Amino acid sequence: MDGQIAQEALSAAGSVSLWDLFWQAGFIVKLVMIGLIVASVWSWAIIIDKSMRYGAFRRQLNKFESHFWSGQSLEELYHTLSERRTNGMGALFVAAMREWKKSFEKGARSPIGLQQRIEKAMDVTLAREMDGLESRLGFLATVGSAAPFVGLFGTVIGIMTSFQAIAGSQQTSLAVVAPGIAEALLATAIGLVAAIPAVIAYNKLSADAGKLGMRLEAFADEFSAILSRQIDEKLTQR
Amino acid sequence: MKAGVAVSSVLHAAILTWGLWSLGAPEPLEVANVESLPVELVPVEEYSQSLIGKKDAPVTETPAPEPTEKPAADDTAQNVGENSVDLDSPPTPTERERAVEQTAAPVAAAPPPQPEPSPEPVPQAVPTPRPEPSPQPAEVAQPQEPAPAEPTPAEADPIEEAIATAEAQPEEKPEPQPEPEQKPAPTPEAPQVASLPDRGPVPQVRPSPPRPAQTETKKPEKPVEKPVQAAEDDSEFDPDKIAALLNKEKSAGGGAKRSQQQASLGGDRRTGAKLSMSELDALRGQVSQCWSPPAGVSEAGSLRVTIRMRLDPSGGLEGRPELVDGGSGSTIERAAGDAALRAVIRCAPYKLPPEKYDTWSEVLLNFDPSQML
Repeated sequence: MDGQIAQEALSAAGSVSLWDLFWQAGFIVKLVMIGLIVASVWSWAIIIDKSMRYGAFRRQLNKFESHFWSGQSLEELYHTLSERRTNGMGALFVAAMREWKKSFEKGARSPIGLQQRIEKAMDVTLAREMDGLESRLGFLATVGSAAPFVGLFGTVIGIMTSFQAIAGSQQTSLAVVAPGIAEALLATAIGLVAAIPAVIAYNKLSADAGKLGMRLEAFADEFSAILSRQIDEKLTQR
Repeated sequence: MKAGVAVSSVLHAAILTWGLWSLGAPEPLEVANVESLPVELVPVEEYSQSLIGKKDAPVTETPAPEPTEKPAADDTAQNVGENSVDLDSPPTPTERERAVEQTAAPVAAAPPPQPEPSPEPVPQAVPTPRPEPSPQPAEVAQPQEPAPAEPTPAEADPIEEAIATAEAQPEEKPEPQPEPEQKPAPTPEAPQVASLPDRGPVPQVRPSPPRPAQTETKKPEKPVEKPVQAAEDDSEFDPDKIAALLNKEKSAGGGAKRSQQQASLGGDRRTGAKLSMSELDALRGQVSQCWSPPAGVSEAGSLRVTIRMRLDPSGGLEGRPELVDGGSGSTIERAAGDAALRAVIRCAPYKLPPEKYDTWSEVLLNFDPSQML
């Protein structure tokens, strides 16, 4: 008997495919689901973009380091790099060299002032690079922590409305309750689907960005040491 | 960043469409349409105390035996039993033939006055052997025809009564009284007053134990023929009819086995032998009416009294009811026991279904004042 009733109710309520569940859901639940799907799309876009960009960045660093430590003259290297747009270590190097050149072309006499200016220039460039590396990672963190709650909100709203409908229809059969709860739970499912990759990717990408930043800082320190030695040599030559 | 967004959207679209198609409607749960199986717990009593009925018949509200093949003209029997006549009285176990003799005794009471007219004829009786009696009755009938003509009706009566008694006598035991003088009497007159002699001899033959069984069974058959003749002669009162009027039913009570009702589940001959709740309640109510429980006692629980009483089939007390449990010790307890005994005795004739006498021939009654508060 119950089985028959349930089946009749199911056939009356239509099938229970994902699309039907989504389409039968209430306005708020639908909104929540759409928002979660958009968030998922955006977070995956960030994940893909970042992972690609970090790979390219790392390759650039390796290439520059090999160039830098190849014994090539810094002047030549500066000439080749300054002509094109660079980022990462190249940008640091170019910024430092530009400050160096400007100081010596204008005939600066204070070695201490020159050293400080070069370090400032490199700091600014480093900060800009780091900012570029870590941009949009915050969105991943937000999605990772908030998406489950948003999904839960949709679920609670959906179950609330379905229970209200049951109270109105004066029926307590499981077949009446089930579709509403299923479509409400779909919101939580989508929230989790969006949040889990976002959390994982955030942890991975922020660690990667931290590593790259460490390498840039190390290079900046090293390069400023080299430049300060050069300054001392130039001053003693005179 | 554009590349990332594009790739991500494409991936999501692909996964969603794949999900819509492949994760579509899950298989509806197959709920087998099994009808719930009603399970009934049947106490053994239903069989051990089953009512009369048929073993493979469905259970019905009222017990009914297998319907009789040929529906009787009578109404459906109201009582369950083996009789052909429906009686209200409870069935009693069938007795031996002996019981039948007793029922005939009252009829035999009539003859005693007869001895006065009979003295002369009696003598012939002694010689007549048992085997002969069968022809004799035939002779007896003949002399009757002339008899009415000669003697006054008053005289005829004794003769006919004698005949009747002769017929009935086989069943009479208590009539050893025949006068000893009759024995010595001569035989010659035998043919003339054949009817009277018949009566006399019987008692004398009785004493011999071996025969009676045969002779008694034989005689009743013949008399049945005679009454027809006798009835033609005398319409006022035909003693021959006495036999026909006699209730040939067994003295046992019980209803008739006659029913047109559909048979119900039950045993072959057993009738329910347990007091129903309403009957128990009736007994309880009857007793509690007569019982004044000890009042004003703090611990009523210790005043529980159990009484055993024996009842006779009419519901009266048989012997004195006795205290089985409680009712001894302190004065209050003794008072409680006495109160219970008094109640049982005062209510004495109990109304209980006589057909279930077996179950209430001995009754244990619990008197608990705490239940009355």
